[in-house]
Amino acid sequence: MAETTATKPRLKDRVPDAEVQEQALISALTMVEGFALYFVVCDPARKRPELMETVTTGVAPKTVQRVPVTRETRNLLYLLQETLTDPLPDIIFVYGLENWISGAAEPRSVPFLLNLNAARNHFYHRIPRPIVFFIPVHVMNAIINGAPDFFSVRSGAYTFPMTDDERRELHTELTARNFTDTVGIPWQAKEDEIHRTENLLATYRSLPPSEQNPQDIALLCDSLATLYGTAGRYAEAEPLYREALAIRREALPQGHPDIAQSLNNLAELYRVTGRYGEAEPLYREALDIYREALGDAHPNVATSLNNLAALLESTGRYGEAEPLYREALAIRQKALPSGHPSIAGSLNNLALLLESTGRYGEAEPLYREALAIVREALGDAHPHVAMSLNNLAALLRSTGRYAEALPLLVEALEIMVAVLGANHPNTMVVSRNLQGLREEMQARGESPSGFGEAKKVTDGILPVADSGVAKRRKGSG
Amino acid sequence: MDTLENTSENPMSDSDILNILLNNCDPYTPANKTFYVDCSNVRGGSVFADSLCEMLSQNEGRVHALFTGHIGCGKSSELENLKLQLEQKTPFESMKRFLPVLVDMSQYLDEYDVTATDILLAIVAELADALREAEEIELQDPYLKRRWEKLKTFLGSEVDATEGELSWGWGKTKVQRLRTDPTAREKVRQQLVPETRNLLEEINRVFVAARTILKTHPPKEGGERYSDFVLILDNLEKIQRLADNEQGEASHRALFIESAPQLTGLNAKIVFTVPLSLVRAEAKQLELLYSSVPTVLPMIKTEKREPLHEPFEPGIRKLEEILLKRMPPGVTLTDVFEADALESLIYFSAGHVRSLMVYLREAIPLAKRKLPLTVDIIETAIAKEVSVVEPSLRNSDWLLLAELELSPRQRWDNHLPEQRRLLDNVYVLEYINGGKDKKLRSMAPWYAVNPVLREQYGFEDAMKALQEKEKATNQTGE
Repeated sequence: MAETTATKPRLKDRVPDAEVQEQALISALTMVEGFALYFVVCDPARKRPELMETVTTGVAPKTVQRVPVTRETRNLLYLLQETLTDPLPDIIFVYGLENWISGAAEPRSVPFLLNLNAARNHFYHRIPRPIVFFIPVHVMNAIINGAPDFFSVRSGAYTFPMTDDERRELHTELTARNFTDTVGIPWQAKEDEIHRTENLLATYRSLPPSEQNPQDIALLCDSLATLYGTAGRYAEAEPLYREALAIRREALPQGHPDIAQSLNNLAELYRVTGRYGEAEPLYREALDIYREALGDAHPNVATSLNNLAALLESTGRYGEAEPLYREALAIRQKALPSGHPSIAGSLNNLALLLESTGRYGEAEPLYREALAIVREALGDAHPHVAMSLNNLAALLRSTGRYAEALPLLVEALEIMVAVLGANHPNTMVVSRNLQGLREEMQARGESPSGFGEAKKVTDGILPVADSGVAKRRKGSG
Repeated sequence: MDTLENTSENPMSDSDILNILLNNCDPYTPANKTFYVDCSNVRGGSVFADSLCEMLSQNEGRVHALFTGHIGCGKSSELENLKLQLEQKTPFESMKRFLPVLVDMSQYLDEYDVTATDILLAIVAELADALREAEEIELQDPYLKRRWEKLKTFLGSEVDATEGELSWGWGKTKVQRLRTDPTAREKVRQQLVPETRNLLEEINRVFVAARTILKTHPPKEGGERYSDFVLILDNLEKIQRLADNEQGEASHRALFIESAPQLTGLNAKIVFTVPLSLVRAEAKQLELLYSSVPTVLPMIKTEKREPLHEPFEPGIRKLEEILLKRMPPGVTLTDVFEADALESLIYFSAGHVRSLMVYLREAIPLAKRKLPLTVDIIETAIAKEVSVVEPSLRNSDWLLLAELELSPRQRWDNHLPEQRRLLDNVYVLEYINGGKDKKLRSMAPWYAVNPVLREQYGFEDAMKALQEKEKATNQTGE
């Protein structure tokens, strides 16, 4: 038996088709008594409810209870104990694990899987019924690697792989998604989006190699990394940006704008994490590529200039930063319709730089122009308007014009509370600034409506001042 | 029913037989008395129970034995069997009789947030419980009673609810409740941790009391008096994370090596289950700390290393014996299997008993209620299983497997997470040759690629890639 004979089909060619698997699953569930684990791998997602329906009908008169796993579940055993009817159903279906087990996580650090592995002996005593998991392929892989003990006591594993048509369908769905505008979405939606994108990437990676397009992987990596970045999860973002960059360098001709985008993304990540030395050459390479490929007057060049300038500013190289900001502003004023919010971003950044070097007189009109633009473009109740108000107020406060600053801060705070909520970090910054201003005015014996002497205050400047607009780093590329 | 076939000698229909067989082949449950088969002669001559019984009989004082093996290779079944042997004195005539206390540690402990104190607590609770249930002995220890009073003030009203049934408070229910209630557990820990020394002394006092009662007390079921009790701590190796430690290897070290003074401070005869990877990495250290050589329960060998993949008949016969025990009464293996179907099932199980059960349990629903099981049914079932597992293997995994196949004498290094994962998932199997001659017996482990994976495209591709690479280096070498 050590050698299989030539006439006999080998194991790898014997995988039964979906119909046989379906019948075997129904038959197994009809026969089995007591605790037993079954894993049913089924993609794409929409096929799972259909399959659950077919199996439920097939095992009748045995009763089935379906238990969805919601995001809050850390421990499946507890969830089942809470959810199951009394008396227990004959068979339990569990689905929705993909909401909890992301394709990107290291399986051995997922609490849900650790609990699964640890609790395997408790299931037997507390839920003496067959449990069937309906899951996508990446969740199966995570269970095999993250909960090997749990998987090893299975009574059966079934797979309903994608047909060619379904695969194409998934492919289209994956590549048609628009990932570019992820910076502005609210926090909770962002977490959901991260989760969805992690799963998409994992699903895509589990396709057969012939079905995978490296460009799509780069796109998915890039999108996921950007999402991680906006959520502050920089360590997770870096390897994905690197992978996207490597793929694009490999697959695209030298000097392709997509490579510049990858370089720029990675550089931004380095900049915000303080790795300035690593960021600079990447920004410069991106800038060169854009200039070469798109011409000096393209908005992407402006974005690149802006980002590089921000880096130089962070390291105190104000003299080098200023001309770059000015060039970026000039490009945007020329290439974009007047009143475009990106122009306001450039004005704001340049003003911040001037203020940092004490050139208040030059900074003020720029702030005012930026404020006018965002009010016009985004309406009175937008966080960018609040930010502009805050920045202008900080400048006024720095020059001792407290009475002028006060109403601006009050308006900014009203907007922030209304739009972002009282507990948002940016709201709290504005609130602190307002508080500080009032205290300062009182300390000088002024009523909050009076005038006073100038005193340099630096801590009131919003750290987000250059983030909302200027850091829209993906630009239009 | 109304079919004529069923009136023949065998009153059971094919469908009945398949039904019973499916429920007898449960990969989850350890073999009970009916299903247990002594496999020591094909497990590299491992005589774990015998030598342990010998050691226990000769030793009046404490014994701390370490026991380990692959996931699903039959550890729990062996421990269940050990329990019987201790009670029935089967290994040899002059053996002393012991009261076995088998503790399934996973019943007590959150397997990923545990302290050594939790383990001590669980042990005492289970001992008290076993004595009460088996021999109607109530442990009355003033020290523990006093401590219980103290604990009660910490645990508050929650305790009173369950206390009624617990005569002196260290009952099973109470300690098990700690597993699911982190705040209560934290309180108990704060109470106990600074006093582990005292706790150890107190527990040892309880042990002495228990031992004394056992020696003077005629057993409930009659027979020879027990000379002592033996604590068998099953599933201790499954603990994933010790409190305040990284999960995995670091926790295993913290528990079995750094907490060894506490564990070995217990003055009793104890069998600890330890993780295989820790034993492979720290055998010498463990031997020193526990004064005992760790016993590794190897897989049942179904094929040889030399010549590679040549069938190993005694192992194959043993697996047939295991399967026969699972047949319904009066049913033979030939009733159920076509000859090459049985051969194939055993070959692909590679001596991993749990896999054997999984594959058979998978084949039965494919049989359409008709016997015998054909080779087509068996291999379709296994192929179905493998197609689920296969996507979890990465390219680098296939390369590691191919490397092992090409140089089967290679060591499998458990320090490397990738290699440990392949071993944990039974993609790589560990065997021990052993042998009849004690002097020549080789206890060094060797490793083989799971035969179900050897038939996959990923494996074949990796083999080709490696062989071509080898050819290329040979050519450039010339």
